[in-house]
Amino acid sequence: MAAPLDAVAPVLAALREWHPAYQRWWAQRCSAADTEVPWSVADQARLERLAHADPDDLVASAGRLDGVAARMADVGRAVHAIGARGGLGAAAAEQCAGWAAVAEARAGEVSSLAGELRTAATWLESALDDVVGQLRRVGECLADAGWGRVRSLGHRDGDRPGGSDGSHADVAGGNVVGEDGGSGGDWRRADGRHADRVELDELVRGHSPALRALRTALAAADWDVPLPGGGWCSDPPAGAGSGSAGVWAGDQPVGPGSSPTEVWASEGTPPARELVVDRPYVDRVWQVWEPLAPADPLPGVAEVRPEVRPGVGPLLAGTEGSRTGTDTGVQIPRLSDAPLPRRGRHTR
Amino acid sequence: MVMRMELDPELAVAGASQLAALADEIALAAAEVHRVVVDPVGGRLGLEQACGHPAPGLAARCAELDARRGELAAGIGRDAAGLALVVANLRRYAEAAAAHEEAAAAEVKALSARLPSITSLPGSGS
Repeated sequence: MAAPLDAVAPVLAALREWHPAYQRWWAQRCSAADTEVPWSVADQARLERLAHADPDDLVASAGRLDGVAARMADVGRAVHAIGARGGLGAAAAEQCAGWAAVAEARAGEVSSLAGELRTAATWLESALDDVVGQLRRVGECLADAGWGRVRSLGHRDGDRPGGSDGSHADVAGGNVVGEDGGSGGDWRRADGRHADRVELDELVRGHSPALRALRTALAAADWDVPLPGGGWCSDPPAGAGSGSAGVWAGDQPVGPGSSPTEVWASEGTPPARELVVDRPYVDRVWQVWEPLAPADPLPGVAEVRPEVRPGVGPLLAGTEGSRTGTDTGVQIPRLSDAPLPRRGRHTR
Repeated sequence: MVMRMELDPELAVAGASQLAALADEIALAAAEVHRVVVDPVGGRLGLEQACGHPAPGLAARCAELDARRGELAAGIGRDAAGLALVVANLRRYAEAAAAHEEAAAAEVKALSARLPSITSLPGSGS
């Protein structure tokens, strides 16, 4: 596998050349929703790890295991023959027969593992071939974009005194007009750099299909399973980025809406897919929710919380009248007046 | 004589030697399984494991195969030890049988030596 990856080494180098432009893209988040996030350090690490995966190693290992299995079977037969020819005593003959059966079963286990290794090798070779093919496709896309122009875009603002260095401050500093919470809306700028952003966004968007296909191939080769609704079984470490997070190591996620929705980006354990109401769960819930004091104070109970004290108050809409089994009802204390709604930000 | 019918010391010692050779072969097989590489990424698990996160699919699959390989090697090693135990028991039985045979032969020899001095059976009155 190393040889095919060597063949696409220029593509990998080219992806690294995109780093400044990608950083700017991340900082300014000037993309539309359909844009695949750029190549990341985590993507690169995953690819390099896969580059060391050699299916031939698995095939060779399978061959060695086959040899072991054959030897085990031969030894089992020999032990059985020694025990059966007599003269060893009944106990030893019985032990030999039992051991021969165990050896035969063990040979089967070794053969099974060898078969799995061969299957894995075949599959891995195919998957890695797909990765290489997708890498070549990405290379063609990058070449079409033109290296010099991309690098220029990546560094242009950083070279300007006081210009954007890809930091969040630039975005939050008021240069962006029409920002709509990071959903990739209109990025008109007051300083005339609108064209750069559009160009950068178009470049990144132009690579999206190829990058998306490459990531899919990488995930397949990595035996990662896509989850419904996006994301991957093996969630990325926070800060290290992932196939979709697009955060370069050492970078902070910046820009409005910088966490793509299809990635579990927070630290800690991802949420369980199914809720299991067990003792730890109940304990955890009761740490958050505590029972209210009873409405009718029991003897010795000093205080009744006012929000549950029976009394006169406005009826909750929909609770008027009486209901079967709810003759007591709930009285809602008067709430403070809600604040007046604010006028819109863009009201003239 | 019952033991002799079940266990022939000479055959048992010869069988034990053959079984011992086979046990050595099995031990070598266990060592070979132990050395077999089933991790195509060569243990390079990358950022995920270094950061304490679950290994990605390929690495996890490799780890699973590697665990099976390790269990298999350990199992074959136990098989070799089991066969070696059969060999040890067989040798011990063979030695015991041989000692029994020698003791019986010595007793027969002693009895044979005493036969000429026995002139009459007890209670014969002569």
